[in-house]
Amino acid sequence: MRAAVQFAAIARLACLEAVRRPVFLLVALTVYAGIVLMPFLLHYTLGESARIIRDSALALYFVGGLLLAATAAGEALARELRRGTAATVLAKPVPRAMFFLAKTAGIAAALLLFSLAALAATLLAVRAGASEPQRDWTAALPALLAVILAPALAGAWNHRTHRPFASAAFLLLLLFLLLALGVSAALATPLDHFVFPANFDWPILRVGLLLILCLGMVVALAAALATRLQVAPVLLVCAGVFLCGLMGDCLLGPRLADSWAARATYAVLPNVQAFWLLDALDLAPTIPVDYLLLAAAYAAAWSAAVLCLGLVSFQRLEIS
Amino acid sequence: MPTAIQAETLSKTFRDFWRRPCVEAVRSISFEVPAGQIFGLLGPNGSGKSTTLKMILGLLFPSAGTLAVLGSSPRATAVKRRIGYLPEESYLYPHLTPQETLAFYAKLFPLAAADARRRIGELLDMAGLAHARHRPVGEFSKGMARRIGLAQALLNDPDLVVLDEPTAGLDPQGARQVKDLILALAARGKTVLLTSHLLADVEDVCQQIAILFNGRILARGTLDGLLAQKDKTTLTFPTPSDPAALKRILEATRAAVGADPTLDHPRQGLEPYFLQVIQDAARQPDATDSGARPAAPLAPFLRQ
Repeated sequence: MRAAVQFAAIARLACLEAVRRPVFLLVALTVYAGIVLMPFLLHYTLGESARIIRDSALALYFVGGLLLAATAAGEALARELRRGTAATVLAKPVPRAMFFLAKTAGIAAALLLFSLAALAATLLAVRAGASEPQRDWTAALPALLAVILAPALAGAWNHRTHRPFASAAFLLLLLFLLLALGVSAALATPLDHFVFPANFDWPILRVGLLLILCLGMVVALAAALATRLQVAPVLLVCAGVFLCGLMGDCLLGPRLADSWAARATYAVLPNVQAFWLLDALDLAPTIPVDYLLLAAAYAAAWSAAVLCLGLVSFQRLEIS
Repeated sequence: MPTAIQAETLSKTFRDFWRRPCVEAVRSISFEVPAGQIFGLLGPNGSGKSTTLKMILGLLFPSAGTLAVLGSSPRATAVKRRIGYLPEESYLYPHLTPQETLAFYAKLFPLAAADARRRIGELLDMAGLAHARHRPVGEFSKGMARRIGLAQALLNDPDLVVLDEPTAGLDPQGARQVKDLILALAARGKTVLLTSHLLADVEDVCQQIAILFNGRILARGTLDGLLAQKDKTTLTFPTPSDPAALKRILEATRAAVGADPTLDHPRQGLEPYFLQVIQDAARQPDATDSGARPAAPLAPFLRQ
């Protein structure tokens, strides 16, 4: 029970510290604004606007998420180790393993919140722009208002209470985007040639879930690396590993049959292609639950292995 | 007397990325800190004080030698429940308020929620920061942050208090309050291990000291044992109104010891004089202060 309280306290603080960093808000706001503005930026899509918006929005979300996962994990561990806050906490009766895992869980929670808002924005943007050149204002207007009002209200709240602006703006963005989704879902689309059942392209959520799992793997790798590296190298290595993972089939596929080194590298690299299933949505109406479970098991196993390495590294780390 | 900390031929060598030895920070030092005593580790920058403290806290691992803290390994979680640590810099989460900071650290100890709330309130009063409990600590002056750092070190009512430069960054009032707190903790049987560059502070509170230089202990013992000049005697008495009486005393002393005595008026210390001036000023009706306001000298739970 005491261990659960300690774990929750450290994880909650890690999550709060992550969303309180200005860079987190900057990246999140850029991603959300980019997604909700997408219907207004695309022209001459030859009836493919829904697919283009969907693919672009999820790509933007994934790149933003990768950036946030790597920097937030790097900040939560590497910077705290350097700044000394980790020493103060570890001088208390907190096992090192718990500290490391709780920090990772806190960052993962922050990424989950980021993902929820990004997926809400994606659903709204796809609905708003699916009938290009017409715009569905019942989806576009609530989304735009959410992205504009959240920072404005957070600024006013900060002016009044002196509480951190960045976390308030981020949490209001999440709240307003979910509210916008609710409001938009309650309104029938005015466009008679709308392409989705029940107003929204809901199968996007299943791809979103897969991307959330993939971002969880990024968090695990970033946390493990941050026990030894600073923020910038953590970001570079994470980006490199997941880029190689994305291109794994292309780079290593032809050599898998006759090279044990290729097979070993292929097994160790995260198989990002398994989580990027947007093309599959064009061929099938949805992604089967069995596949989602298998992908979740793979992500959990890969993350657990990486976290074990991180734990070994952190147990041996000298905190000076 | 039981021992709170026992170090035997303790060494620490830092290594570079390739595991090559690069700095020998502590070289085979041995010392023990008796329970219930105030022990000072002194030395210039880079002498190995903070490294020694961090080994005692289980944050750094000794390269050689043995170290026992409260009878166990310094890495044992059970031992850490009984330790309070104030780091050299007040490492705090800048976005948290003092209340949130102490609430966070309280959750790391096996404290009941009501007990934790009471202790947090008492410590905020003791630190003189009750009026600033809702301001982010990132906005605090160094002295105010130091007080929060000290408060978090005492949340668990520790048996062993490790203080790295406890008076650094504090004004004379704050420094006096910290020294009184250290003396009060020792009076309750707590062990205090501190490092400081401010030798006057160490002299005010420590019973035993060790002087470190270049990773080695050069001197160790009680303050009286190290500093008392046994071949000299000071005699203090009220200044006589008759100058001839003073002359007679001097002549008698010279005849008794066979040497010229030194005659001087004892001086009041600067610290009590300064504190008196500030206390008088603070009693004026127009006195204002936006910083820390010491209220209670010692949190009630630390007096029990």
